[in-house]
This record gives sequence, structure tokens and C-alpha cells, in this order.
Amino acid sequence: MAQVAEIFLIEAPAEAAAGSRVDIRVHIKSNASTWAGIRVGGALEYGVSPWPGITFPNNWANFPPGESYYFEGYFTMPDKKVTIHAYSYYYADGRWHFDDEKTRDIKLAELVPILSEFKITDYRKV
Amino acid sequence: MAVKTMEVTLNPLALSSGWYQDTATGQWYYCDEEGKRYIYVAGYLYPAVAWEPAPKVVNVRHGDTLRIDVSFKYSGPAKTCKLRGVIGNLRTVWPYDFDEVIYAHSPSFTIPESTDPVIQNRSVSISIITALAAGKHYSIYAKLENGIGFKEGETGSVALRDAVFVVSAEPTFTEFKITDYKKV
Repeated sequence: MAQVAEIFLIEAPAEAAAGSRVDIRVHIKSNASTWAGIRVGGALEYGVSPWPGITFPNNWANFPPGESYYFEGYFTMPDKKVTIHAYSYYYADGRWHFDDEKTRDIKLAELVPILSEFKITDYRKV
Repeated sequence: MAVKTMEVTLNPLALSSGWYQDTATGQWYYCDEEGKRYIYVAGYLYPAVAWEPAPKVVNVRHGDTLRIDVSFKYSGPAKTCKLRGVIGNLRTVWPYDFDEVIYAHSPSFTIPESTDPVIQNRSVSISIITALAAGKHYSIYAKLENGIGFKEGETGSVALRDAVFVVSAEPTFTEFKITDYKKV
């Protein structure tokens, strides 16, 4: 149970193609009674160690009491199903304290062949 | 459903939209508002090849080789296929489709896996043989094969009308004239 920074939703696609960029949003609600510094982090679990991280261009914010906010992050989809681990931290006593964790699975999408713009560009005697 | 029966006097490149039936074979065809023609088979409409005037005419002789270059975009899993290049004619009777005279395949090639559309460039070479009559124009088109059905603009090209002219192999003299005469 989160003390301050409660992760209540991870927005992410249900599936993604290998090599494609996956954009996610981690929604966090502050349970603090005063302004709180809250940070987000994330890692990807799919069989490699250490778990690769998730990029959050803006990974912290000051939350008003009881307010919610989301952090946007992204990563490159590996060639297998992946589990997103999202973490939250709050700032107190001069350091960040781990507070909450949520997970979400993303399936590997099968690529569908798509052809387009087929045209003859030249023809000549050789 | 308004049905139009085959009429040989129709302009083959400017049909009005609607259903058509070849009364000789019973085969159904459909022409849409944009003039694209489809072949009806077992509940499905399959696009027929579209026609465009060729941007140039290439003169060839028997024994020559014609190379057709194509480009297309592909995204998806790795796919192995061949390119089929065809020389033929606009069929002069309904359904005015591509009447293949000769064709050739490229060697098999594998299009690499890609999540984003990537432009691919491929070629196919066709030997000019005597099945093509000397002194005649022919049209060309190309398409991908091996599990890839034809869909003009996606898996195959439009047909380029009168893109090739087969020059006679016999010695040909033309434009003979006296250019001058004088005392020497």
C-alpha cells in the first residue's frame, strides 16, 4: 500500500510489434496532506538481466495534496512479451523513498505484411 | 442491380460503372466509379490490372533482354517472393485485361522484416523471343508472386501500354532520298 505516491494506472497498448516504440503513461495520485515531491521510474521484465529501464523525459513533479498526475515514458519493444514495472518514489528527509509498484503486460504483436506503392520505375534494354 | 452485358463497341479504357457479364462465359465483372475493373469469383471481387500510357517506348530485337525495375513499400515479417515481369497486349475483347505473351521471374529474394514501411527496389529481366512479333508494340507490367495475390498499386504495377516496340531483325532501309546532285 502506497504511503504517498500511489500508482493507480499504467496506460499502454495491449500489444506492440518488435522494434517499435511503445509510449506509456504512469498515473500517480498523491495521498499526502501537503505538497509532495514524487518521482516515477520503470523497468522491463522479459528475460534479460538487469532489467532494461523505461525512459521518462520528465520523471518527477511536485504534487498538490490529493492531486493526480501522469508521467509519459517510452521504450523499444523487444522481440517477446514484456512486463512493465512502474515504480513511484516520494521525497523526504533529503532523499527519494520507494513507495509503490504496478505492473502491466504487453504482448508481442505479430507483424502483418503490408505492401503499397508498387510501381514500375524504369524499363530498358540491357 | 443494373447489369450491363458485354459490348465489343465499348471503349475498353472508359467503361461506365456497374456490373458486366461476359455472355459467352457467364463471367461477372464490376467496374467502379473510378473506372477500376474487378473480376467476380466466389463472392469476392479481384482487381483487374489498370492501364496507363507508357512514358516511353523501348525498341528491342529478338535476342535482346528487357529489364523492368520496380519499387514498392513493405512492412511486416520477412517474406520470400519473386518478381514476375510480363510483356503482352491489352486484350481486345472483354474484359480488356492483360493478355500475357511472355513473362519471366526474378530469382527469389527475401524482403527483410520491418515494422515501418521501407522502400524496396527490385528488377526482373525478360528475354525477347519470337513469340513477340516484329513490328508490333507491346505492353508491360510486373507483380510480386509467391503467396502474394495481385492488387494493383500494392502488389503489382499498372500496365504500361505500348511500352515496347519489337524492331524487325531484317535489314530495314527507310527514308531513302536524293539529298543533292551537282557537276563534279
